Amino acid sequence: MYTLLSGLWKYLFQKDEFFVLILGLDNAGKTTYLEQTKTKFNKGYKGMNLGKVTTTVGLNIGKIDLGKTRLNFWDLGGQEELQSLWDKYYAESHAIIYVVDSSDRERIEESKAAFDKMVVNSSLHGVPLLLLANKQDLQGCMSLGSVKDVFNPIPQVVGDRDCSTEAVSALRGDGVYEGINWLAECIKRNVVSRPPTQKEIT
Amino acid sequence: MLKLFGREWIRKGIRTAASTAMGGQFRSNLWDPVLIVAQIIVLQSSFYLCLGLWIFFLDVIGRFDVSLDQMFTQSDLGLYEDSGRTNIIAYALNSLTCAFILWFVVGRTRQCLDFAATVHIGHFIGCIIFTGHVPQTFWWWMTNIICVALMTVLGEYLCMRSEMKAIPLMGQRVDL
Ligand SMILES: Nc1nc2c(ncn2[C@@H]2O[C@H](COP(=O)(O)OP(=O)(O)OP(=O)(O)O)[C@@H](O)[C@H]2O)c(=O)[nH]1
Ligand SMILES: [Mg+2]
Repeated sequence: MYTLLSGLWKYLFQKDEFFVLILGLDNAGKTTYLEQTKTKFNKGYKGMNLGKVTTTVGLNIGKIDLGKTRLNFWDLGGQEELQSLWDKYYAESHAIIYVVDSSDRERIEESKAAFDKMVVNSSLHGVPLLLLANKQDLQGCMSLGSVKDVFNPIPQVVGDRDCSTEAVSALRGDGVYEGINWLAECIKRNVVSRPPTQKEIT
Repeated sequence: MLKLFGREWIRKGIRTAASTAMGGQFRSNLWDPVLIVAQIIVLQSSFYLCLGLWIFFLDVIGRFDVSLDQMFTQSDLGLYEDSGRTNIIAYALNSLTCAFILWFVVGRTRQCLDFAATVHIGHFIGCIIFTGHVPQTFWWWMTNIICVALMTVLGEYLCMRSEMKAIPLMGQRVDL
């Protein structure tokens, strides 16, 4: 009876688990953005010193709870050698956040190439996509408009998915709330084609 | 008696819902409410079946009157009368028998206490329904608590022994 009731409890109160991939070139600010998100959405979470973030090898994970929804973030390393690992995560993800360093004009084309490769992948069909123009606090960075112009993705790929672009500053935390809330709404809209990952009840 | 009861049949009936440990497969650990409810029902029925058989058996030996009160009435448990003593013995033998049934039906060391307690809670409710009030005598509580303990310990011992068996990795025995 204990097994029966505790299982029932877990069954009734378990959260809907979704997985969000954070992608982008190295130095784009993915890890900083994840830390900022965790600090903003988890009460009582003392974020690590954002100045101490070093380049990611492997992946960082983080999770936030929005009511009955739980978002699990996978922040992958963006270096060129590590980009080949991205597609291993596509099939299990429910949303993509793509971070662009808008202060780095030299690498914007490289970023666009990585983005294009990612967005046409068939495992990501219909998955909501949030494009972030990061580092908006820096002087002389590209505006959201010009980043959009560069990325303006191929319409047929974007056509059947929720897609949004946003200017943020991961370091200062501007625009984090809006982006995550928008993404959570899209994920919930998309549950029919990408249902939440069921945690097994033992 | 248990052989007669059809060990294989019980196994098949109860365990098909979860993947079976027999035949080299790992049993799944997933929560399966249908399976658990079925196990509870089987245990509860066998509890009363065996208790009835033991009481009947001892009544015949001791030449006492057979009655349903012996199962559900607290006044029929006690050390000061012969009939009360035989009843307690029947209860004790029953919990040992039920430990074997626990082993066949549940087969999980971790769940023995759970199911043993559940059966006795079922019995507690049965007693309330039959007599109309909560059992109050010392011997009723004493007997039942000891029965839970006996059933759990023997059940766990039996389950542990089968769980400790080496797991065949290939499904069949491999001759090296
Ligand atoms: N000025 C400014 N700097 C930022 C911002 N976001 C990140 N940075 C800095 O950019 C650098 C790289 O940030 P990371 O978060 O480590 O970048 P990453 O995308 O995780 O890089 P990899 O793990 O190598 O893929 C750090 O020094 C951050 O302080 C921002 O919004 N504004
Ligand atoms: Mg990083």
